[in-house]
Amino acid sequence: MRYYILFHPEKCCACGACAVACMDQNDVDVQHGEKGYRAVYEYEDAGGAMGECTYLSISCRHCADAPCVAGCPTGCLSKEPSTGMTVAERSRCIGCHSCAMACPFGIPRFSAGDGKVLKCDGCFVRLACGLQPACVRACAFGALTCVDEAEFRRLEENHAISAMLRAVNQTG
Amino acid sequence: MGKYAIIGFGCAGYHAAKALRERAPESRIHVYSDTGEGPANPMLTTYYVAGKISREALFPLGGQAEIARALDLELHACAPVQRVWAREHVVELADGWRENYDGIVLATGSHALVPPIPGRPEKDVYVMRTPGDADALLKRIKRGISSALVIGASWVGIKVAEALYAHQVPTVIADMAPRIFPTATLPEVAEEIHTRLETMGIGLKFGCGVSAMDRSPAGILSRFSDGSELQSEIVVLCLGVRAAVECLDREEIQIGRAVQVNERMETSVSGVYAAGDCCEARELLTGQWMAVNLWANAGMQGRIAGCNLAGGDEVYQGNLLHNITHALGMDFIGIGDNRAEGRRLTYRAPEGWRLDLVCREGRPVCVNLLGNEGLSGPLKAVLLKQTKGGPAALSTEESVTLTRAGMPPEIIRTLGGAKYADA
Amino acid sequence: MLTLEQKIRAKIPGADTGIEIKKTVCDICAPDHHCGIDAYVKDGKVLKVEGTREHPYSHGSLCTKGLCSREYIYRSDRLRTPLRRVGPRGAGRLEPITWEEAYRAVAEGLNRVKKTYGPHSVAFFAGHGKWFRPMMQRFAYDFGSVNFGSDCSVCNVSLIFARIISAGCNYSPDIAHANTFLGWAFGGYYSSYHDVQEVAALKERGGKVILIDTRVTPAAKNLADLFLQIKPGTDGALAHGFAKLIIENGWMDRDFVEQHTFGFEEYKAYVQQFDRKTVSKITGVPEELIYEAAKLYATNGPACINEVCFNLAHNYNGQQNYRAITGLNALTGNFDRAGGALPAVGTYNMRSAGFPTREGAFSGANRPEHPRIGEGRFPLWDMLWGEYQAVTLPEQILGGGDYPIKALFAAGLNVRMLPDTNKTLRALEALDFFVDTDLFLTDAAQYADIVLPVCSSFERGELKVYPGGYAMMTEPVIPPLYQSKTDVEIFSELLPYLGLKDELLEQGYDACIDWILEGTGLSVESLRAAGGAVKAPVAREYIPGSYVAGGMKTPSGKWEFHAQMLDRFTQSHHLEPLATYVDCFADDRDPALAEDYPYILTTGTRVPNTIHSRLHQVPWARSLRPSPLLEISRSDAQELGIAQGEPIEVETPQGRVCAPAKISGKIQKGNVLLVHGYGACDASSLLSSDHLDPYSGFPCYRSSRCMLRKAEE
Repeated sequence: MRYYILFHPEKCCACGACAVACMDQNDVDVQHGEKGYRAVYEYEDAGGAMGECTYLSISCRHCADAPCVAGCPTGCLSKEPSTGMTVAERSRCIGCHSCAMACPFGIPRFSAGDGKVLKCDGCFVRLACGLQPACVRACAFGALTCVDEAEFRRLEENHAISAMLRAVNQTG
Repeated sequence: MGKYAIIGFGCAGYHAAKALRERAPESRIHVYSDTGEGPANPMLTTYYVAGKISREALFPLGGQAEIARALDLELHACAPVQRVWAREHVVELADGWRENYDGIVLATGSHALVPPIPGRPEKDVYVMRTPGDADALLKRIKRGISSALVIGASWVGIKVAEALYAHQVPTVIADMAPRIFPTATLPEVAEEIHTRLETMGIGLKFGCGVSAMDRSPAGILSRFSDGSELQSEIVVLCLGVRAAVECLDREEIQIGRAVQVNERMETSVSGVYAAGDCCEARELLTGQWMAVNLWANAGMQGRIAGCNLAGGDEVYQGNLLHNITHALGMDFIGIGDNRAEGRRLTYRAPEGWRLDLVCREGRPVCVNLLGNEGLSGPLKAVLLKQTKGGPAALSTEESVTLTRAGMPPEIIRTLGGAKYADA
Repeated sequence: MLTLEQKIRAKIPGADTGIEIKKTVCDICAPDHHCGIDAYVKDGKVLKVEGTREHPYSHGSLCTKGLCSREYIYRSDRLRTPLRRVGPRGAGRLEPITWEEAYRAVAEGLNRVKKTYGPHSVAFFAGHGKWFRPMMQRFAYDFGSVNFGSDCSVCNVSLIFARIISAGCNYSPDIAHANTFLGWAFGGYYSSYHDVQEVAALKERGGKVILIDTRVTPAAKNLADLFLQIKPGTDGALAHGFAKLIIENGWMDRDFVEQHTFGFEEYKAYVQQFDRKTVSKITGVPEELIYEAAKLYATNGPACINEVCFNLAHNYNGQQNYRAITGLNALTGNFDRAGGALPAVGTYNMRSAGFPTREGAFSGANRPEHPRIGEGRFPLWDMLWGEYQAVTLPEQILGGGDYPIKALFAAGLNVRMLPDTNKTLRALEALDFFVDTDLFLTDAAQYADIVLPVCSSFERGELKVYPGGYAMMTEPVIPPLYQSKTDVEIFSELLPYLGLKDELLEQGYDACIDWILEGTGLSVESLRAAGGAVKAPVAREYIPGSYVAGGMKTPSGKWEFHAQMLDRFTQSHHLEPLATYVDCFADDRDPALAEDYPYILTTGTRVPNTIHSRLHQVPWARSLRPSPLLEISRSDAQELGIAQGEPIEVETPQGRVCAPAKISGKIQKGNVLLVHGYGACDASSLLSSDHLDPYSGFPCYRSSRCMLRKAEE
């Protein structure tokens, strides 16, 4: 099975519920400099029309052909077979930053403590247990959804998948 | 049902085998390896020497036998190929044994380059490429070293210096070039890296090559082109690599500095593909033939070669010449041609990292980024898109991604992005 | 196959992991939400929260604030024991004491004031917490003081007044059956996701959405078919402009107006002056948009109005503006109609669930006959609300007003709730005795003689009611942390120390609830046994139109465009029976003010990461927006030479604060938005305690005159 976490910007308001749910799920200690794996942004084009803005919720795209996995020299990063999420086996990380330097979205980060990679695991354990990823579960507006392969292909046929997500899932 | 040969079993060879097996489940796949070990990642050797990983971890894809079982390969271990008769699709071993195939993937990799240096002793001079090289240096380090000279301020040179630093070995890095990563750095950026290295206690000696060596009571005396001399207990030569193409005939198959392939990873000989360090593909920014020896490139090329050999039609996006280094607490990324002329932009972030751009006709032709690993990927992605003829303007998402990674608005504008005001 | 270790790390509930899901509610924001929480609990510790899917109101969702619950309840500075002040007021020097010592000190302090000045000189005040209010009010009356007040003095009450004096009852928009939704200052994304879900559903079924706001909000971007950006405090003029267009173009509901309204001709004559051109000039809304919005609202019914309960109230003309807006319900026949505004019966704890309880009888049981503080200043308030108007409290403590307040018993007082923080602090300093209950040592608590630690909703059980006739009793999901108690335990346990007798309250919370629920067919026991929300046997689905058919509870029995309840205050207090429009700075004492302070300061806007100051110190919440938010327009920034993020000073006659500028195209020129509740950048310190709505007494958080300048480095 392969799951896709989809983001629908027209429903987002950058409230950060997803970001906080991620912190709650992953015990993120922001007081000591840690960051959650999902973040929200409210961007305004200073040269654009009055009132125009974009709300975004950003995390790992779990690319089908993930550059971070390809760039990882140790096999620490891989595609989790039962869900298709991009996961890290932290014991194998050597802190070489190859994944971060390969990721087109600048997603992987490194622990200030052990220097090893920190990234979203798509809540693959929750998915495997029939639960939604924490961020998706927390979105009250339907701006984040999680779909399986069949639903993803159906949405793709209906042109309901963003260009970016199509691009990173070409070979899914 | 085809019968295929893969020459060499590193990252490219592995991925070629895997792709072949996936696309042609019934085929017979023969793999020839110089060694009895699994595909080793050369990048990991210095981590092993530094004591950060176990020897086993040098083989992230597993052992040879294990992989052969999983992918149903016919393995020829410790069987160096003497000659590949490309047009006939024939592989010949040292003992004269010959085998004919439907198609071949060349994945022979590269060797550490050891130029002739007068007086170079056999002992205490090392290179760094294979697990065997790493074993040798580590063994020597464990016996105790009081000083080391690393010749070659390349990526490997820095990583070797980092490993020696981890063992508290006083180290000097020397290079004929005037600065570190000479093919990637802009002079001011190199200056900053030099300062940081010297602050850490690493000696630097640029602008002079080694002209000769002698044994001396303290170990080795290296003599440089400017007349200076340096004593060290060991010398590590990090002068780059050379594609392993000895088994090929230049008359038969097109070879530059490495085997030349088209975007389908096929060589000039039909049915013969090449992948990894032994081949060179078109570089995206310059359009020239170039090998860009990265683990990820090798994997991708291997996969495409394997896939296309089995009748697929996949295209390799091309190499982007870039240098990425994480060593001694620094992240350096150099993209593009560092000799290009153009408008210079420098941004120094309050957090300590810096970004330098050379722009021509409004587009960056060279990027140096020091100290921000998260910005490298997004920046590369944007440059690649623009190089491939994509829209010059950045999408909202791209602008946001760059902003998020710390890119200042003025540089985002230069790259064609909107003027974003953060929330 | 997943390993047990993986499942434990991912917090998967189950027998193997030992993680259990326990149900509670979030009470971080207002009691008209209080969403259901699934607390993931192991070994008496909450590991994670999620929305309860089967909850009758929240259906599985939680907002950003609710999702911060775990860090909120486990904030490292939770009060652990009762505290006694040992330093000067406000210095924050307090020492731990036992509950026994605390109760004795509280009893001694309160009884001393009672003996010297009389019981009414002890004021009781309920702050952020809502769940204990019926018991606290009863407790105040048991003590003998008539002076019970709360944060309702600045919250939703003004809107309720507008509805009561117009229609004789409170009501709410029936979004689920509307064709057109008119959101007036609708901030749903950051304060009420339920409304956004309903409006999104309305759009999906082909309905139309009109939004009116001073700023471009997420709702304006994601939901609006028509968006009208309006100058602060000019809403009444726009509503009257709509009314004039609706009457002129024959879009009104003639039958409803003829049969069910009072004072229409007077109203009609009054709104004549609000032609499109005039209204456009006052409000800044383009004429065509005014016309389009009026037409869509009036002709694409049923249409409902969501005039959010707190923000329009916070202007000098707030009450009148509300009345001008709510009049549109009657004019278009959308009152008491499916898809319009439906009357609501208060059930319990500020929530209407479709059935009555004995809450009022319970809390008002022992009410003394005595004037409350501030009486006579805001006669509409006096007439309609059973608490003192708390904006008068600081003044009253400082010696103004009719009789002295010498002691304060507060439960969760926020010193930044009222305008002019310094004045509030001066008042707290002047008290003879002050006791405060809270979860944290707030700035207010640092002034208290005794601070009592109370627990969160996770650590107690309580009655909740929800629309649709639902009621439920929660159970504690973890024991009270440290030595904290529930507020109601404190009232019950204090009674004997104070020498008071109240058999019902002494028996505790459950006994009180049983008394309140009598006649509903529900009891604490039956609710506990049900384990979740159940429908009250007495709850009946409301049949739209039945309230109007039975005669409205106004003097005329009809909708009153001319509110007869106000006639008696026209002479004495200049309160107008019609919803007349005046400028929101009509109370300027000096015409030079407008020149010296040329910008309009709006505070109190909702942001996703906190409500008031409640989550500013919760790290997860704070990380979403670490610095105070001060928003100015692009053109003002340009004029002032301010770049994004540069520090900027806001000054009023009351004070001055500094914050990094957020330059935005969402706010109009001349307006300044400052988010409130920050300790170091205190919006309330900029506001005047004299700039109040004369009808409701509400402070003008949304419109104060101010000056901007680039901060000196």
